[in-house]
Amino acid sequence: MDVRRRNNVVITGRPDGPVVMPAHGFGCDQNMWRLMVPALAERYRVVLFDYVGSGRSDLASWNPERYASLDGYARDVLEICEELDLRDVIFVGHSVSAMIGVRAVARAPHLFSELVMVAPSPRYLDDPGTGYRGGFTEADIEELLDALDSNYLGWSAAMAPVIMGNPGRPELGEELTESFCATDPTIARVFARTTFLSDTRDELPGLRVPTLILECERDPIAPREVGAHVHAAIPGSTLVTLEATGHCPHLSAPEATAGAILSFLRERGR
Amino acid sequence: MTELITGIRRIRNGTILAVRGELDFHSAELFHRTLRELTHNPGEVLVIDLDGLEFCDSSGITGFITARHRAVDAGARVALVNVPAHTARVLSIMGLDGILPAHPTVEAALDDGVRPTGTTGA
Amino acid sequence: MTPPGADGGDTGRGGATGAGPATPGTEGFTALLEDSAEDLYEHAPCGYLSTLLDGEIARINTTLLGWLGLTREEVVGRMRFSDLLTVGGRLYHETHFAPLLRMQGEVSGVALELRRADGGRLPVLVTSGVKKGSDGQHLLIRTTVFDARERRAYENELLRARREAEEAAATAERERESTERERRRLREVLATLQRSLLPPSLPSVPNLEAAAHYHTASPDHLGGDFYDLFPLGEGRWGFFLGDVCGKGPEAAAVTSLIRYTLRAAVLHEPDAVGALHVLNGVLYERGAGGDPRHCTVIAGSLSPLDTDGDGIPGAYSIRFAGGGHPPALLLRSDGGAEYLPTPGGVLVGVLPDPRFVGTEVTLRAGDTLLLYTDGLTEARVGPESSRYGERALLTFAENLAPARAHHLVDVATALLGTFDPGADDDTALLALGVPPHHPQAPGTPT
Repeated sequence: MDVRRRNNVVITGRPDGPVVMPAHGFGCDQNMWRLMVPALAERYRVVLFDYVGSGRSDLASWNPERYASLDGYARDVLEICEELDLRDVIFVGHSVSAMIGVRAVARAPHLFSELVMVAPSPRYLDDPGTGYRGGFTEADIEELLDALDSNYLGWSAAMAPVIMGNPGRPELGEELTESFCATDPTIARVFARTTFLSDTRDELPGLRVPTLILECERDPIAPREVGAHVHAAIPGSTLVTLEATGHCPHLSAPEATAGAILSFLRERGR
Repeated sequence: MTELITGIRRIRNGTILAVRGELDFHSAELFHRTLRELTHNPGEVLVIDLDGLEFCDSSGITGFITARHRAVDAGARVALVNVPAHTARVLSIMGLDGILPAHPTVEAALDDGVRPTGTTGA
Repeated sequence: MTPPGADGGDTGRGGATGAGPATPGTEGFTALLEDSAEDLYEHAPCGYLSTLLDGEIARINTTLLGWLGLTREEVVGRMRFSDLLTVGGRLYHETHFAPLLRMQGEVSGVALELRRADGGRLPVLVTSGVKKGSDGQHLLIRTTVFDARERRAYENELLRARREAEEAAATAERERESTERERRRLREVLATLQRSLLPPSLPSVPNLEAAAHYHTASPDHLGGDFYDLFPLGEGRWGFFLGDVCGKGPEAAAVTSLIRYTLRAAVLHEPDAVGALHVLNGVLYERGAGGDPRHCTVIAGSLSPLDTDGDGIPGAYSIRFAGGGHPPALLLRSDGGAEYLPTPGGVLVGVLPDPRFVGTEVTLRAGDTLLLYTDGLTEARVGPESSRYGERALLTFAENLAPARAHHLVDVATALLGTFDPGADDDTALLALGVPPHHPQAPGTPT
């Protein structure tokens, strides 16, 4: 199937500008970037997409083997770059997507010029062996899976009109919000496990692309201790701490987030 | 298919075993269980009443023979009453009409025993 | 009961007085009048809390504090909404709930779990809305929390039931496949066993045509019908066809016993009656051991004749005896048909000293003898489940005669196919015929 349709690729911004490729994390889809896109679009060509299994991607292209590993998601990124013939890509990854970006860069370093990590974590689980503190235990992840399950039941009723294709509600806005975050529970469970049980720490020191790390002052998922670990592990990386709470600064503080990214890119002449 | 029904009734000088429905390979087991519940005393008659017997194959005939052997072993005899034409014909073809004598009524079956020359086979 | 505010609009809201004198029996109405918005907020049957945009709790009602087991001082200005959640719930909140709320301005009916001060958990349903200023600016987040213990128990039950149903369906499918495999295997074994009870093919007999057919009523049951045709030496041939009472493995075992006993007996006894007596002795003895087994059978021998008495060569003399078996049917070369009864022959194996009757017939050129089991005559036909019967079979034979052995068996097999498929009696057919005589061309000496 056509990669553009498969990954619901949406291109906006300056056609001749450098390519910025924002990648959503676990939970939602490319709409996460909505508040930040205008700030980027003035100067850059913005390539938005949904990972297979998320948002409005083609669910039929999903398979549990490929997407049970972050490398499977990284292949989505590389296949989009190849399909659109993208070069010197500025990859902006939120949360787990930051680590998907690390893996994509490792496999095809020639395609990427900069890497921006928004609220990254290379490992969410604590690792008592090395003293690393990701903040979570496996039991916590099981709880998350339970939350996914119980909300699927609740949502299935709320989603019924959408699933039934109710023609009486054609408003695009509503359609958009209803598809937002509402993924197939089986796929969501696989993505959750892949995300929260992954470990990309060993790949950080080998990263040879200029990297910006954006962390929030108070992030329940990626605490500052984790941001400091990523910063220390990636040679020559820049760490910026945003006066923001939560795990999604691009939603809670879009101007600050865009501003930090833009100044990082300007300093680098992009 | 009509399911097999068996009934047992003790009378003064014997037992009446009523058999209704279809007696075949599948229902023969019920018939044999019923037979095992019967006890015979010397000189008594086991009257097998076939009024309402709709079908009887070779498994059923084997059942009648078993009933007859058990009765004879105990010094009793066996008699059939209300034999449907089809079963009568099968019994005749099999040469069993001599050892499983048929009577028109229960009374006739009981009377038959008091005659000095019974028609029981062995 | 008088509907609250039925005559006074919403004048009661805020505890206004003077809406009318309280009459006996309207205490509820009075209580409503005295209810204040503040009291309603604090003691509503659901939890309320308001947070700043970063989740810091600015206000919380008494109901929710009671559920959490916390004091207002411990919570307000000190905790964020996500601090009230389990860790898994917090992950869900950060990855789904908070982004949705940011994007849509409201999220409703999300299932989460609160952590209580005593370590316990409270399943809740959470609805949040963003309060916006006049310029659309987000100001704060209002959240309602409903106790969802019962609903969650019910949902867990649904989830569990769904998982169990899926597992049960998978198990049932596996069992069905296994049963189907087992059934196929059993059918193969039964078919093999059934074949072992019959001659693999009929021998080639000089100047005699022989054909047979075995109709299996059910692939799940071994039938008890049997037949055979075998050499006796000096140009003579032995044959038999019969039916063991009952079916299944026991019947098959007896069928095997009968087959070998009869082969030996027909070979060694001077006539068919003697052979049946030998078989009867074997079966009766077995029956005395507690396993009564009987069979109906026709057994006999074929001896070639130089001529048939009319000077036509190639005839056979057939001598046979029957024990409780339906009579053989002879289809004459002249188009006639008749039964060959063996009267008085009794079911084999029932009596210690039964009577068997022998008979003899000459099979001339064009004559065919048909042996069959009662699956043919006892088959149910017609609307009343009446039996096909001996009379119908005779008519069938008269219409067909003369018929050569293979044709006769083919037509009779086709006839069986027209009978009620529910009939579950097996049928064996064996036809023995002398080929028709074709006089040599005139002038050619015979």
